[in-house]
Amino acid sequence: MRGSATTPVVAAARATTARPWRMLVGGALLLLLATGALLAPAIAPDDPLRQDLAHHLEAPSLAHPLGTDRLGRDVLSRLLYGARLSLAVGAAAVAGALAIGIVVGTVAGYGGRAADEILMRGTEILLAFPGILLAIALATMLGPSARNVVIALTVMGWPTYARLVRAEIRAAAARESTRAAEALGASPLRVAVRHLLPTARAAIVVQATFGVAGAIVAESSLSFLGLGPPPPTPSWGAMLAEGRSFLLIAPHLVVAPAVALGVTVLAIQMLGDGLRGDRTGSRS
Amino acid sequence: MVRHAAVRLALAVPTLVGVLFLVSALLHLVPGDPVDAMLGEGSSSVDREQLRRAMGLDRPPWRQLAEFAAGALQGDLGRSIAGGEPVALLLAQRYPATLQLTAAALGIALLIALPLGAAAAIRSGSIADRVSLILAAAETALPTFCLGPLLILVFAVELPWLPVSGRSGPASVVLPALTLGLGLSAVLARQLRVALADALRLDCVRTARAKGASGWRTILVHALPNAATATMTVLGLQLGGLLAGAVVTETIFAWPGIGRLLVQAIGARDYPLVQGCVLAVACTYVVVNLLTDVVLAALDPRLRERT
Repeated sequence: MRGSATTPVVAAARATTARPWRMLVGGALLLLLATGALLAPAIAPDDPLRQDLAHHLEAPSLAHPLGTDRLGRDVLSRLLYGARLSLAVGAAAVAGALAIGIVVGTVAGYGGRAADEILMRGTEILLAFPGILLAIALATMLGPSARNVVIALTVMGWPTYARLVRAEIRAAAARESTRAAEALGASPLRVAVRHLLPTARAAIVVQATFGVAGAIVAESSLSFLGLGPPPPTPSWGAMLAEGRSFLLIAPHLVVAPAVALGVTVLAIQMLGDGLRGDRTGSRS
Repeated sequence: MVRHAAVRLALAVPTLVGVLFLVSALLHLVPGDPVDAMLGEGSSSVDREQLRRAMGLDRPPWRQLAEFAAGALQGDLGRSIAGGEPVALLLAQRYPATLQLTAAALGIALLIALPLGAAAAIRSGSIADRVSLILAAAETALPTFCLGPLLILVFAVELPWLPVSGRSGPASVVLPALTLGLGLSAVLARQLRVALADALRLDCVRTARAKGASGWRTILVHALPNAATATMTVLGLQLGGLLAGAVVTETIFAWPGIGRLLVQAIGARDYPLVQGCVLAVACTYVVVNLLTDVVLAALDPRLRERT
């Protein structure tokens, strides 16, 4: 019995016979990145905060595979520790946004017209702020820290999930099976949790996957603008911002975090594309 | 048509009021006392009281909100803490530079996306199709703050063709506009490819072809207008991304627009200026979306019936 249990995610994945390799490659890359991030203390060649001014701005060498930054810190080690921050912030922000989005979307989609109007107006106001601008404003006011970045990205992200969940819930509410459950006297909460939300699961998982990539980029943007965790905490965005001043003499300082970020985002996108199962490229 | 525009305009009003409310509330998120944060540790209590009164922080929150909203509607957004200039004046000085940058970025995006998207749609799997896919992947993987420095590295440092930063002459807009526009071009090209491929399957397009219209005429006159609405909807939504991307792009290229002003204000903890910049960008976004909507409805009568 267990072997035949098929979750919507797996079903969605099976539907994409066109490019199963995408999901495999993306998933494998992501697993590799996550492992590197988790094991950073064990595998990093150096302490990411240890300064060695005698060897600053050095090009990649055996001792420092990705070179050193302006304070002589090992770039590879900082990159590995930065991966921890990126992945953790990305996952936490999406989890937060998803939690709010699911509750709000369910209430809006199944809680009657008044609730729907009020909640959807609220999401419209938040969505009136283009992309990351709201996160920038919030992070500025709250002060630079990893926790506040997560808060800012959660506030920025939840309206998208709320609208998606609402649309899915409304479609599911019109089904015969839902009507039957209502007729049998199931409480609204039971209908929502047992009958409506499960049908929305596949769409939510796909959106959330792309959401993690978006959150990681947003975290790096905030860090780049100096709104992330304060130095010397290693973060890809901050590393890029710092490396910009040394473009001429040490381009590896910009290239290394840019490539790390690019590979991470691509891996997540490939995973998401595979889960979604259509071939049109799209922005998260 | 006019009715549709009026309805959309009426619907935008509560959104704008909500935006105003949210921006004015931002200041209250500052942990502790915003006056302390702005003036720093060593400030005198006289200065603090003066600033507190000037910003209206000594009044009850609901009055602060009402006054901020009333002031904003009259073009008064308070004064910058750092320089003392009216925030509205600073915004007005910087706004044209941001408009120039986003317009140039939009131009570049369209210049790349239209031929690429069309070529990809006409022959699926062709080189153009592959290029547009690679561009889309690169765009998601290389956000503006990665792409910008890399473009500087290639086109201003290795090949000294273009200025590294600043706003001086037409050449200086190329790199920032390219940084900002490349991302949009990828999204647009993919969108146009899908929409145009659908349009090419329409009966009217097949009829035109059957009646002897040339390949180009079929695409430009018969298929493209049918693909335009979907593409323009995406374009309207993406303009917000362009505005937000301008914040980072302007910072990278020292472009004297609203985005750079915002980042400078953040650095100086100049909260009234931060509020002003956020409000300016958000309002632009709402207005642009409104305009897109109205223009779309003018082009496509079917959209008017939905309101």
